[in-house]
Amino acid sequence: MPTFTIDNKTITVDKGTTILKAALENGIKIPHFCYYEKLSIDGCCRMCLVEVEKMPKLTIACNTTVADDMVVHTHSPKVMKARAGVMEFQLINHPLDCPICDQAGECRLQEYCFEYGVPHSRFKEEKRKKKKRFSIGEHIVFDEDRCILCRRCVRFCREISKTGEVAVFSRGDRSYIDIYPGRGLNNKYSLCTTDICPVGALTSKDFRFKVRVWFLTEIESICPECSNGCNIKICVRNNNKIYRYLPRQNDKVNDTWMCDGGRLSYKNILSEDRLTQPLVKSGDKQTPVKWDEALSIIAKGFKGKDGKPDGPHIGGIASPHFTNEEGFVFQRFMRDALETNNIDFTVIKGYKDDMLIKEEKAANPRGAKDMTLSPRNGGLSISEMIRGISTGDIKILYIIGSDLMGLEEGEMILDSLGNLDFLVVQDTHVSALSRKADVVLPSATFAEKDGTFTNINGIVQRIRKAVDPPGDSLPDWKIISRLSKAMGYVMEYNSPEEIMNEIAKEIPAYKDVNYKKIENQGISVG
Amino acid sequence: MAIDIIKVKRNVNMTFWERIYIPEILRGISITSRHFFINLVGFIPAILFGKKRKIFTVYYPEEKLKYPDAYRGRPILVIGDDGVEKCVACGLCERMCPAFCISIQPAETELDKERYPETFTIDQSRCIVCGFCEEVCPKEAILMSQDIEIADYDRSKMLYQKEDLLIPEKDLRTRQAYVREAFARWNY
Ligand code: SF4
Ligand code: SF4
Ligand code: SF4
Ligand code: SF4
Ligand code: FES
Repeated sequence: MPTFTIDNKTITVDKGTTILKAALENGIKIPHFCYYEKLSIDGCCRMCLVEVEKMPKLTIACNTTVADDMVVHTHSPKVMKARAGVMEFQLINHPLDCPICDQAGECRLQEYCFEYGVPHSRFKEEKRKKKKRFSIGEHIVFDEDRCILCRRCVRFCREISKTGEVAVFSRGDRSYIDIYPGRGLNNKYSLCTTDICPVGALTSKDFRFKVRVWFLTEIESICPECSNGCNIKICVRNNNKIYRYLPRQNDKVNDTWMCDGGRLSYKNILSEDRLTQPLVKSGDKQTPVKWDEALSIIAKGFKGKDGKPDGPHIGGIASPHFTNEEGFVFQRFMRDALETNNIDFTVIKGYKDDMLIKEEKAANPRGAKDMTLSPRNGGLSISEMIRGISTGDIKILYIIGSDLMGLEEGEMILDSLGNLDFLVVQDTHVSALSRKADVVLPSATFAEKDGTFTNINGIVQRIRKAVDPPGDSLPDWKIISRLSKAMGYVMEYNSPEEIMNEIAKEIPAYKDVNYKKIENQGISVG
Repeated sequence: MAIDIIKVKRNVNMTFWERIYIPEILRGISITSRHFFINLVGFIPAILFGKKRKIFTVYYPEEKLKYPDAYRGRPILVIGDDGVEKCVACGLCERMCPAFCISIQPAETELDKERYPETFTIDQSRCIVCGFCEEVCPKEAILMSQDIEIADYDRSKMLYQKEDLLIPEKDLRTRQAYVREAFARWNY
């Protein structure tokens, strides 16, 4: 464990740590372009030069390991002069593109230029011109002119996505980044290259020119697309429109990456077919009604002739998109208010790989299991409930989400729903299921509510409300507790946090979980 | 506590004639009365003989003054000599505007400039004609015009859209030159 001095601070680090890493961990800023924590070290940009006493020349911090008794200066006059020099070289051929460049506002080159550069150009010669914007992959536009050849994208494709479609071609000031002939930057994680590209060379086709980054607020959340639970930031403008997701660092879950599918899934939230009002079937049509009316119709529908909940004939199909809190409230509602054990859930399966993408295409199947959303004490499973419809054992279904349709027998299920006495569907979007329902309740997506998800490895993580739910739609936990109240069984909760505190009391694995401890890195429940 | 009395030196040295006061009062009254009577009857020769009036009254809105180039009227967008608006929707003016009255929706174009404002709205009812947008613009795309007639009965009409803002560059040369000179001092 070497101990060394950096900017008059004495610190001890693990053996093999580089100066740059040690500095960053201790809050000392050293500018760098090519170094990226999750990639191998390239040492090609020379921005991270620092002065080490007794070394004849300045040395790069990113590739110099700390040794005992080293004395490092990161902001000495010599270093500052070298940085200004490196910046000048970087800018020699860089276009004056900032007004049109989509990276402006989150561009390293801009930031360092402001902090360390010289304000004037001494370059009188002709600038080298390269190819401007062209499509380099399904989701990515490349501007060769802006590239500073830090090779982060090359290393990413070699080391992380392991697809290696990008490389540096040619030599010297003519070298450029390109894809190998006949290939495209089309791996499942390609958009990560736009995150790590320090300048505006690689930009996302989807995001580019939509909004300036300085108008965006970032809200920490979790990607809802699969059970891996990648940490994300939701970028929102004016608290009402989502423009993009960015991955957020969590070394236990996703390092600093996320897949393209997850990243672009924000579009679902904005989509036109969101449910925005409670609907009630009248004749062949579904007409919008107020919440109170919809809830009282359901309360009536759930009750048998004797005015009590028709327990044994009711089935509840939960959603793997539920937050833990909602799952908990749902099972309480089914078991205590409706007195039935017929609870189950299913999850759509799909593509998986051995990096991040998991098979279950929902955020919280693990949490649903933990919250006991599967049949217990003789309750019926989904297939038994569906069989029960034809035998008359199940007359009422309360379905949340449309994951049922992902089952092989989806179509068959859809047909058999016609035989029910009463069907309530609660979902975010219009679906084949919701069209069949007697009452449809509009619910909020993950970006419109607070709560927690438990990922496939048992890490409980927070989601946070980024935007308001559209129209009259509400978070599932609110809908369920209101419905419960309408049925005469009061479950008053003011916030998901309150529910989590109750979960901690009732579910042993979650006894240490609370919102404060989860913070932004999550906690493990094993 | 002793009070310090400060005697202000006014740098006015009056002559004896001025000090006796009455003549100066009379002189002042005579100037005022002269203007009064000229204004009272001064239009008559203009009507009778078609002579140019001597008095300095601008009959706005029939008559208008040309303001100096430094004058800041409502901001407008410049159409370049190539017939395309110069703005690239960089969003700096939108960010800079202290009254938050600019909203821009950028979009991509096939033209070389890559980026253009799909919509560009200035809420003229909020604009305080400070000129920051003009100063911050990296493309000389937004300039302060000489137009001050923005009053309206309906606030919604004061939302100026891109079409309402566009003015060809050739009509704006003087302001452009002024701006170049004024901001060159700062050596951005
Ligand atoms: S990459 Fe950075 S410095 Fe280059 S044009 Fe874009 S914003 Fe400006
Ligand atoms: S495209 Fe971006 S990440 Fe790749 S080498 Fe160029 S600047 Fe670096
Ligand atoms: S003149 Fe000032 S207030 Fe008016 S649009 Fe420009 S920056 Fe905004
Ligand atoms: S600062 Fe200039 S170029 Fe940028 S958006 Fe405003 S008018 Fe357009
Ligand atoms: S960060 Fe050290 S050389 Fe690039």
